[in-house]
Amino acid sequence: MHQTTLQRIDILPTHIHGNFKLRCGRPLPFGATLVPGGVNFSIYSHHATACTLVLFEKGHPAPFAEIPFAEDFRIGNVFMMIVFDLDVENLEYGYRMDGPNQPVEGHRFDRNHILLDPYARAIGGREVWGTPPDWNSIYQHRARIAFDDFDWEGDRPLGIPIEDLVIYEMHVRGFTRHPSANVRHPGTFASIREKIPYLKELGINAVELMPIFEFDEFEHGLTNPHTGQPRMNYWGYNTVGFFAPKAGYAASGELGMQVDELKALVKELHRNGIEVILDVVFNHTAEGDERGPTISFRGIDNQTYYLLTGDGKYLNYSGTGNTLNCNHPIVRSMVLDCLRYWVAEYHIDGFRFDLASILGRDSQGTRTPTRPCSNRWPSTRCWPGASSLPKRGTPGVSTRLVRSPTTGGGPSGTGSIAMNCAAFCAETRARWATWSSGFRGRPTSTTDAGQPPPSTL
Amino acid sequence: MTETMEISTRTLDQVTVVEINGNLDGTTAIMAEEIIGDHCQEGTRLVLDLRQVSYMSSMGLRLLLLISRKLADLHGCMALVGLSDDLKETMSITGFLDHFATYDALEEGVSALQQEKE
Repeated sequence: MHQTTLQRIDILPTHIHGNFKLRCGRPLPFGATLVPGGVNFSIYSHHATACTLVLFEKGHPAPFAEIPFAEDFRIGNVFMMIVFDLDVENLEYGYRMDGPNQPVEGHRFDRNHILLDPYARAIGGREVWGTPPDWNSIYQHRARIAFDDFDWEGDRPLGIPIEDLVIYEMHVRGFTRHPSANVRHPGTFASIREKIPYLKELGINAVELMPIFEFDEFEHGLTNPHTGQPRMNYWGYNTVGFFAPKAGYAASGELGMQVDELKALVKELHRNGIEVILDVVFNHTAEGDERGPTISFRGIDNQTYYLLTGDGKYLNYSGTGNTLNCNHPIVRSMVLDCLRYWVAEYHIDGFRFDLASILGRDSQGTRTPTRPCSNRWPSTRCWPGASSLPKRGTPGVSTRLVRSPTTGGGPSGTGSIAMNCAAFCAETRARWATWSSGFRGRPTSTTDAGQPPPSTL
Repeated sequence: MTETMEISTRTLDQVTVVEINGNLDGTTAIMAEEIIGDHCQEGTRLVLDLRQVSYMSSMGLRLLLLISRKLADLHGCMALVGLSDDLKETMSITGFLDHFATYDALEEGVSALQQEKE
């Protein structure tokens, strides 16, 4: 291939730190992005006074380098730096943030913590489901670089009319874990792919995957008193990283190839006429309240990412300890970036939002009529992710947006489920579909009881 | 951990055979790209002999796809020979295997590419 232009001058280092060649990075996109010769690291924190990039060899307990962001590597509230000549496949990275530790003011900076990038596209530390981690490790959930170079071979959205969708809701691990599934790698993305003929036989044309964003199955820290075994978080409604697939759901997670494995699944499902909807949990994170672990957001910019009381306590509309501050401009952008990423990079066809009504609360936790977060999710025909993808079938293929039928009242809420549902649907001007819990639950209950389905279905 | 890796090349019945001996990881894959890239010419038929490769990282698998795409651009083609069961399984679950013609024996791979040429 002939070179048709000069090499860019901004791909050359300008600074040295120890053995590392550096230059000021680019603020966007956030996260760690491959650029010619290096990696661009970019992270936002409004209240941090300084930031240090911490680099590990994959799986190693101690970092091999800590590189402070120089003063001129910061624009506004964004720390950004290109580090050259890294072995990206063998790399894990995190951040130390300096800043005030004044919980009453909402700030919980502590540079002793190594923090996960909120935009990490792959996460190590829990690569094989149920394998106990090294609890002494100073960095439990470890950001990695994703290549984002999957060959989709022309895959496009299927665009099945929403009224024709027959959706199979599944838990990735539960779907094939039982020996009767007769698959090579039970409980993984790869095994769903192996069961596609079965899914086609059922006559379904969409699967909805219960949460597949990285989570920590060990988060409870509890032990079953009868078996002595650790109790796992099986369901995953407790996100550690919004941009990373759950490594423990991939047969290739140990090799760090969960991104490829999931994309291969989506591509094969599409080839067989089956759409993919993700069950996503943006209402809270795995950090819980004051008693929870500091994984990422709490240490990066607590006041930005969480809804807090006037004296810095966590508002708990999710019933899990914290509530994501979805209508803060930066968090709102993160949610949108995340949705676009899964549509553009993983060819996801739709989303089911857990406790979606929380997305309609302002920074004080009050339900807001302006709903800046969900209102920025445009009408389906101009959904940015979908419109950036080639379309097949009917014009204007849309990304499905579906809300859960439960609300986000939590211990701090006062509204009834019915009232909140009605209000939310009205607020979003019917752009959203809603799952019917009654319809979903009734066939299951009758099947379990060995009874024929009631006529009310 | 960086592995040592050796590459040897020969021509069998107008098919270029590249034998890789060692593991393909982030470091060796970059070396291999340079060496194999030199053998990718217009219309090259290339067999990658992987019988002596027991481990390939994500970068190693990406190298295979990269060479394959380069050759396609040059109106050439490629086949993989001698993938271990473990490697084949990894390539299968991550979708890489779908992109390649694979053969157990070197003669099979060479013969298949010869026929393609005709």
